[in-house]
Amino acid sequence: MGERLIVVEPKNLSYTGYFKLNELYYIIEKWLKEMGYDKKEKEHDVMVYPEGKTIFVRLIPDKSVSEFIKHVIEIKLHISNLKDVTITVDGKQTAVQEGKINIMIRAIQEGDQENRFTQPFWYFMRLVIDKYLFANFINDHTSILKDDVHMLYTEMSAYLNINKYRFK
Amino acid sequence: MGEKIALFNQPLTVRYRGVFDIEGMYKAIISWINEQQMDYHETKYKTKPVDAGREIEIGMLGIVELNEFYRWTVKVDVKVIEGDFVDVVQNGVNKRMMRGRMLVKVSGELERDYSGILEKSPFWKKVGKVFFKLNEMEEGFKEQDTYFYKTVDLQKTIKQTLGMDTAQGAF
Repeated sequence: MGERLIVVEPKNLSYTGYFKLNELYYIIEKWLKEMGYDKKEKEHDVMVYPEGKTIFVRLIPDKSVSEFIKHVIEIKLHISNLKDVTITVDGKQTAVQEGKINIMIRAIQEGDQENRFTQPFWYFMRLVIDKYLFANFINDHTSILKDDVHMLYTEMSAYLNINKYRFK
Repeated sequence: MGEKIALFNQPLTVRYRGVFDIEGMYKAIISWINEQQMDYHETKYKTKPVDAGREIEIGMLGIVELNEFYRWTVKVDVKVIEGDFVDVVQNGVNKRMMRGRMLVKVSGELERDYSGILEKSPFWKKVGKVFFKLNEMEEGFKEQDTYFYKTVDLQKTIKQTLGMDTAQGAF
């Protein structure tokens, strides 16, 4: 395997209140599908307790942008004290869920995904080429990956209606 | 026997702790395997009463030959610990379910040249190597992609049977 560059450090999003988990998960999956990422759900744990459910989901979707570069986004969802409740919205009874949700997102750019340059001489040649010939190409893709993560973060925070608080 | 292409680096896992319908999930997995026109094999069925409850291990395998050279295999491993049968009233109907902790692992693989047609001699092995390389040159090798998402669909079926909130998806 080639180098793994952490492009976006872990970004956290916390929310306590009412939401619909199936809608939030659908938003994440829809975004991944539209952006061409392969969905990889590594872990999905559900524990049912008297005070509510605890759910832990770990997604590691990836996308090959070229023969050598792969974009990987790691998403961790931790939901605690999840309960089904009914609230009134615009005069109508709506079934939602109440709980605390923590979301962590980070992005990694992997090089040499097909392990073609593992021998020392070719590894050195690849480093030189990446630094002097393909630097712009790699930087462009790094920017695209950062934008992707920012877009996903914005989608989730917009769904949870967190964006209404801004600095002026 | 030919080379195997693993569809996932690690198996897809689903863990559940609570009350679940193990019989319903078992039937749903077998039904899914049959819908994919696969041959169903049960590699392991082990149930052991211990002090903390019941331990159940089930190994399920689905195999289908896609064409003369490719074969798709799906493997499901179910493990239940601290299992205890409970009677539950669901939608006004009495149902026998299980309370405990469950771990389900789903993995899939594509096997090339499963019948060994291209392994008769060193010449045919070289022909096979070129043939598979040309066949799979397309980026995101089409069959691997299709069966990758079909195996992900099995994980979704298991989550739907367990009534998980994240069972609905865009894929």
